[in-house]
Amino acid sequence: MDTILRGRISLQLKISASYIALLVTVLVLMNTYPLLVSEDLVFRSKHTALQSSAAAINASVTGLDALTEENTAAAMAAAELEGISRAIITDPYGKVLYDTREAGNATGYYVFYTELVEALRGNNAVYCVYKEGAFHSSAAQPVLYRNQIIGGVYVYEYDTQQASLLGTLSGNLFSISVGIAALMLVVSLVFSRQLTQRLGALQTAIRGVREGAYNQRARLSGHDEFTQIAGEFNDLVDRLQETESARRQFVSDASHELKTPLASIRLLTDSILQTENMDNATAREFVSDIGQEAERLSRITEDLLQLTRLDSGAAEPPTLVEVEPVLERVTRMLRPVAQEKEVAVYVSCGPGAVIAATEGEVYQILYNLAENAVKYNRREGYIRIRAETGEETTVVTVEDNGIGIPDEDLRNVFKRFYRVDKARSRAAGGTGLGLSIVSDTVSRRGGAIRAESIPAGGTRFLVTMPCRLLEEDV
Amino acid sequence: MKNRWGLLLAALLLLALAASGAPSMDGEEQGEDCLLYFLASESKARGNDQIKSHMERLDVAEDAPLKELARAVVRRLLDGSEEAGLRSPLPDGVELLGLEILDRRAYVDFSSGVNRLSGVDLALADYCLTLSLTGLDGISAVSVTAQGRALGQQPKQVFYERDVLLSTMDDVVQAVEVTLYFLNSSNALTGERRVIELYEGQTLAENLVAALLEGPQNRELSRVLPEDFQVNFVRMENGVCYVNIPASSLETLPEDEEQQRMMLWSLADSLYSIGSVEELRLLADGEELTAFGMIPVESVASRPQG
Repeated sequence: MDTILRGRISLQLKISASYIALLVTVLVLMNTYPLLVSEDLVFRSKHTALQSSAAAINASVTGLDALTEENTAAAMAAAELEGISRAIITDPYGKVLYDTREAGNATGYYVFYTELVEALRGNNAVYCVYKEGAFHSSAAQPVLYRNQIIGGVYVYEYDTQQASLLGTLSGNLFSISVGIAALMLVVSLVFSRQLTQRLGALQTAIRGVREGAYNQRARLSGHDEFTQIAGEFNDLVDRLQETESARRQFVSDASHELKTPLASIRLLTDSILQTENMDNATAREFVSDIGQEAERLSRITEDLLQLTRLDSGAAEPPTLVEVEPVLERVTRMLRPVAQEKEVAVYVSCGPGAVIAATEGEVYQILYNLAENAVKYNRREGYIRIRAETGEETTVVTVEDNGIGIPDEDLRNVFKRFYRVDKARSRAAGGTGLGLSIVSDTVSRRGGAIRAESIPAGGTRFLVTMPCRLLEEDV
Repeated sequence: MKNRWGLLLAALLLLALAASGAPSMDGEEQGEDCLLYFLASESKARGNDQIKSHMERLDVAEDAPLKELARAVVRRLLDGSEEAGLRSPLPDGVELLGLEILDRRAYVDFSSGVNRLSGVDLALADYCLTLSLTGLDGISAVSVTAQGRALGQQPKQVFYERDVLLSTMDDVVQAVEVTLYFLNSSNALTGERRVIELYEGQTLAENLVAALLEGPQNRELSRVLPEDFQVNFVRMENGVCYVNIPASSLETLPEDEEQQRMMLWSLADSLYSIGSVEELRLLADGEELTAFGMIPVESVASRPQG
């Protein structure tokens, strides 16, 4: 449980961390890009506005052949100084002749602001920076008289209004971001928690099944991938449960089947040992019975081994086996039993009938079906075996006019150790595994088998097998 | 055993010799620290002064005479700063021909190359020299010549540190002390000394009136102007302070003549605490007022003499 919890927390953390990383990236962009663009727009606007203001002041003193404190003050008396915080006019050396600053007026002093120095060297200069909650903008232009620099104009603007707007924008963006972040955090936590809870439910079910609780199911609502995985898991567990039940049933049946002849053998040997002066005929009869039971044990063991081999899934590559020679061998092998039970065997095989399997498998299918038909036939009955090859498949039909199989038993006849009439089956020497071996063999080669009752009496088994080799088998 | 003692003694002897012969490890260079002024590169000086100071260590003895120290200062200015981004204010190839100090004034004589400087570049060089040299005890003024002759383009021949205002954009906030008048518990006007922060572009009168409207900081005083009293703008022109109020504000004045008088006096006395305010004009929506309620404005129109 601790591992599951750690895994869930880890996944939840990872999902949350991914969301948060994405969110932080978006929010950082959201909080920087618009501000940078706005700041840049303000800078451009300031550049233009300050240059215009400097040009306007420059125009006020244009025409003067030399600048003095008196003539600049007179010229500036009528000048419009709207939109700027400070205006300075200097001589060509940087000595201030006019300054609008009220406190700390620089008139009479030398000032060497970089933009002003640039202007006094003959170039227009402009600079704008945003710091400490204000836009600081400055622009400077040279004052010329007959192409000679006779002074410089320097204007400065300290703007807290636009800075305040930018600050408000920044604050709003931040508030929105915090809101979005909080919302997204909650959503991502809820979402990741939901996700991990669903995963946790699946993990709990898997763990339960691993510990043997085959009745455990993952119950997830919704239609997402997790629900699909849960559905697949439940199907898998269904099959596992069926297989496990079949295995238990099989072990139980096999134990029972093996126990029966062993019990007979023990009984017979006890009888021989405990009966004094047993006559030879009786003793021979008992020993003969013991031999028959041993033979039955051997058959059961062989069939079980055969089924185990089939279950293991390992199969030789198929070849195209001609059905006719195999049928001939089967009828030859069954002839003594058939003659003993006075059962006639009829065989018909279509031209070129082949089955894609191994020869041993084809023999096993045909022999088991035919032997079954003979064993459970009535005296003077018949069996008929036919094989026909079509485009893709070969259909083998084995039918008899025997005692037949009740409809309710038809669907179970391929189950292991299933017998329609147990006493009769044992009497006939059946192990209850013959048809299971046939069914497993047919399935393993991609074929199908079914049993049906013949209305006039008797049973028909239809086997459909592939008659072509697949590309991977070639 | 004797060999071991011998080796140990030899090793100790070597260590002692090495220690005595090693240079001093205290890392202190000999010389004198001086604050010198150079030209900052334009890209780094945007928004600030072109002249920037930097503490430089000069290769002179600590007890060197003033003249020698002054020469070292000028030579460093000629050579340029150790600090990246700072350069010499003087042209390449200029040499120091002589430096004398008489009556606290340094006479600096350069080679003729200094004549290449003109206009603001000449002023920058003059004041980098002046600010650097006047930082030394014993020098308060500087004169610069080229081969013994005055530089023809120089507007003045003697430079003082006080001629220059070095300031930056960080200097946009100024603190100015004023007196604001409020009512005390005896209903008399009492001055409250207040330091008003004045941002670039704001006028002191404007900020003073704003502070007056906000009220006193001293809890023992109370405001004179009513809370709903408004001022459109305050403007200074040639020593005359114009206070423009909305005409509607006049209608809300208290009916009590005494209160009206206190309001007017509070406003006037506060504004006259600014040295540059010589006269006061009251306007109502731009129209000059002759009376503030029942009080003639003329009574406060001029700075009280005495």
